[in-house]
Formats: sequence, C-alpha cells, structure tokens
Amino acid sequence: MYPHERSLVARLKDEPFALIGINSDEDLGKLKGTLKEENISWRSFWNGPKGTSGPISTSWGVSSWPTIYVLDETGTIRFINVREQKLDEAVDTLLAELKAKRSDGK
Amino acid sequence: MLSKLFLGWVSAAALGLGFDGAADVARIREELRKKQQDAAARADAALTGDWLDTLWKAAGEAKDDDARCAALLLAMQVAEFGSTDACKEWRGKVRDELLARYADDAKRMGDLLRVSFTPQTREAVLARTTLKSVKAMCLWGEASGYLATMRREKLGADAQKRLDELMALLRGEYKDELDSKGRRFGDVVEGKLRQMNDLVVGKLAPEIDGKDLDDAPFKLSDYRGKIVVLDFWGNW
Repeated sequence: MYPHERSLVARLKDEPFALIGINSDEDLGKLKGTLKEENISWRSFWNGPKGTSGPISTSWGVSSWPTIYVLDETGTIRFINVREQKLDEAVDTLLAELKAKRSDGK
Repeated sequence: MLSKLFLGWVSAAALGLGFDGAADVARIREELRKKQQDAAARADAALTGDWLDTLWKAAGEAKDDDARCAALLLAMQVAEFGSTDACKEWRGKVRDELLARYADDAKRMGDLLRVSFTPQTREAVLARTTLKSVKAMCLWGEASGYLATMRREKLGADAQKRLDELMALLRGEYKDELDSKGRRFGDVVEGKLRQMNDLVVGKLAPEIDGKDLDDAPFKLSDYRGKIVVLDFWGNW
C-alpha cells in the first residue's frame, strides 16, 4: 500500500488534500525505522500501545486493516474503503467538486 | 531377557527426561499447521484419528494443567479440522473434558472459543461457566457471526432481533467485562454500533483528538477545508 499512498501524496502536494493515518503499531520505536525506510511523510495519529485494540480504532469500530474513509472539505464521509485506482478517483472527484464550489463563490 | 531390560531402561530414560507427551503435542501442532489447507487430510480418518488418540493420551498423562490444556486445545483444533464422523464425536468429548476442568478459567475458555468458533461450543460454554467475562465472550462470539454475515447480506428479521439483543446485553449488563485483547465489551460494541449507524457516507466524521507519532497533539478537524483520506494502517 505504501507506494500507492506515496504517489497519491506526491501527486497532490499542491492541492487542498491531506492523507492522515491512524497507526496501530504497538512499537513506536520500530515503526520509526519503517517511516524512514519507506519514506512515509504523512502525519498519523497513534492508536496507542495496545495496537489494533487501541482507543481510536475501537471507537471507530475498525476490525480490519487497512480501513479507509475519504472525507470532503466539510469533514463529511463521502467514500469508504476505496483502494488503489478507486481511491485516486474518489479524491479527484472531491477535489474537482471543491474547486467548482470555490470558483462559484468568487 | 537382555532386550527386555534394555527396553525397560529406554522407557525409564524417556520418563527420566520428563516425557509427558509435550513432544507429541509439538509435532502434531506442526503437522496440522502444514496440512491446514489440505482437504484430503481433513477427510483422512487414520491421520486425524491417530492425532486425536495421541493428544488424548498426552492430556491424560500431562504433568500439569498447562500441559493438559495444550494437548486438549490442540485436540479440539484437530477435531474441528477433521470432517469425519469420528472427529465430530471427538469435538463433544474434548469440549466436555475442557469444560469439566476449566469452565471457570477465563483464559482457557477464551482459548477454547478461539479454536472452536462454533455455536455448539459457545452454547456449551455458556451453559457451564459461572464467569461473567466468559459469558460475555460467548455473547460477543455470537454477535460477531451476525456482524460478519451483515457484511455480505442483509440479516433476516430473527437474526437482526437476536443481534440487537446481544448488543444490548454487551453494552448493558456486560459492558465492563474485557475481551481477549483487554478492551471493555461496552467500548467494542459502542464502536461497532457507531460504525454501522454513524460512520456512513453522508454523515460527518467524528472528531479525533490525539497525538501524532512524535507525540505532538493534533485533531482531525484541523484539516477542515481539505479533502482528507483517513487511513487506518499498521506496519505488519
């Protein structure tokens, strides 16, 4: 998944877009090595030392990984568990919507 | 005469080494792991029969509860793996033995429910245990079955009613009991209900107020005005 996330983040670096992770690794020290090796630049919440049983994933009812939500600029959920090309399409759709709204507002 | 003495010496040496079936348990565990996807092995009465006889014997000769449980739990796994009639009978026999000894041992009942994820086992455990935490595990096991079905198809009216009942129990009477990962069932069930009812297309995503991997606090709502991909991930 990392290469796809990396290319998405790189492609949209000048757009009103953010990839936010909720990371469920138990061992932060080990994870930091991976961040470097895999060149993971996006920001993540940490789900805490209980890993996949941590508070954020529990309160969101997440029981399979990865789980993906795509939110629009108002914070509304617009797509759930879209992957690969579908994920790109979802994000592009929302970015186009946002641009259309902003140019209408001018 | 000499060979008899020799055999006697060998078995005594084996006993002296602390032989208690542990080596058999380890061997069968490895063999089962290799045959997990092997349909022919499932139907192989000689193979599963041999494994089960050996494990039953190992459980009988075990030096302590840990060794006995390891043998019985693996026997349960083999009995669930096998598709023969004999395996079906073994499931009841091994389950009864575990329940007779450990019905009020939360950890071991959790292990049993993990290796034998069936309505029969859940009902048998529920009937025998007096521990609230173990009952909660059984109720959650049943609820999880319905939740898994729901991902594929709509539940029938009876199933939906039963699921609602189970969720109400788990977020009510059983809310403070802990699951196998140490989470309160109340929290687990609230999360699941929230996921089903509120974390759907068209609804506002709830706030996340936490810390990043460098321990700096931030919020999901800091990103209002941007398109956000929220990615629950882990490096495994």
